[in-house]
Amino acid sequence: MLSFAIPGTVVGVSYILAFNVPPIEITGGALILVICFVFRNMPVGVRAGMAALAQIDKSLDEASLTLGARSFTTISRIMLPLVRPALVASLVYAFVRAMTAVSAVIFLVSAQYNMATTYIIGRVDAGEYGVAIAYSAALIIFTLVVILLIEALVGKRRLGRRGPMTDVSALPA
Amino acid sequence: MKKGPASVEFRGIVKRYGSVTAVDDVSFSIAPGELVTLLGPSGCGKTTTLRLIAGLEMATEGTIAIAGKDVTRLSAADRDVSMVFQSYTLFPHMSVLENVAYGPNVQGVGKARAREMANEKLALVGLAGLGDRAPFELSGGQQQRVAVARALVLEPQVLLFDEPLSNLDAKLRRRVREEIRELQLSLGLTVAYVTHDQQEALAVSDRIIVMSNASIAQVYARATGHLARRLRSCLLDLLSPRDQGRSADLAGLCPSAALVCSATWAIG
Repeated sequence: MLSFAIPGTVVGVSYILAFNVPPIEITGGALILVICFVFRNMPVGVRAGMAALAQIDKSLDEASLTLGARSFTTISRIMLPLVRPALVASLVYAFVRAMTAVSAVIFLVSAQYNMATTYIIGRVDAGEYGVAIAYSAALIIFTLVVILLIEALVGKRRLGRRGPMTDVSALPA
Repeated sequence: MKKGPASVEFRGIVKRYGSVTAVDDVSFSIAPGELVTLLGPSGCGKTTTLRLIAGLEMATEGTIAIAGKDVTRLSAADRDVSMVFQSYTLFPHMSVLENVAYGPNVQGVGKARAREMANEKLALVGLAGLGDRAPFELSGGQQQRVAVARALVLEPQVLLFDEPLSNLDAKLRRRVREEIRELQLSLGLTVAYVTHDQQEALAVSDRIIVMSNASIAQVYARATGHLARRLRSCLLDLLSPRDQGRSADLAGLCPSAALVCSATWAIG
């Protein structure tokens, strides 16, 4: 959780200092943006995943094992579906944070690889409010679409309590 | 696919967790088609013993053989053993049918065939037609029966029960244990059954292994097993007109044998 305690600007400057010289010289590229976001948002995903895994009964994967499923099958068919809510939450969180972050990336962007947020700030600074507003609107819509896509692809909530669609007459007496 | 029930052999099994010895030099065997109960207070090592058979724990010392084959170092997935857990452990994100069909599905049996096998076993435990339900839509007893169906679906050589009835109420407990026993007898399954309830142990088992302090304290065989067969043959001898001398001899050795024999014969 340490990466939360560090202000974004400090992270950005640190990345520049660390990666501006060989052997790993990646400042000004797209990769450094990706890496920065991955490490900055990872703790949330890890914590959410840990919490979700801790909720799963250990005997569930033992049951899967005794039925002849190997570890990989057990993970993909039992564990992953059960931690899916946590997975979705982390994905959405990380994505939104990455799309809206300014402080961490403001030193990392270059003319070639810019971020929408920093570009919008640049337009506001230049007094081009029209462009800034248009970009902002596009950013909001794009983020929304992606969140809905994530929900549709991995967010199907199939476990838990009896859903409202359950036919009451079909339940056991 | 037909393999039939198999024997289980435990030879000098020791299981240590650090400095704690959970199972200390335990040796026993389970004959094919026999139901053996591990009975004992909590913490006596009975569940660990069961998990050693399943391959969910690895023995520190000794060898385990199933059907005469050494499986000591095989993982749970490679042993032909299924287990029914105390807490049912149905997969909550699958329907009842998908739960039961899980075994054949991951073994690479075709989808249609897996469903067929699952339906067959659901019918066997009296839950035909409930395949589309989610596990949480079933009562505790029904969930436990689904767990039994799921364990049976691959027709394992050995079936393990880990306190399967402890989450059920007293009345249901009696019924389900009778169902388990009937199923075991009719399918001729080799079963290892863990419980801390003496009555339950007496009701279902062919043999009872009483454990305490990580080792075997006592073994009891049910009268309907070997002993009853001996008694029955002795009764036959007594009734046989051909070999008067020998029957008289037997009767002399054991004056009350005839009485005991007639009692077991009547029951048997």
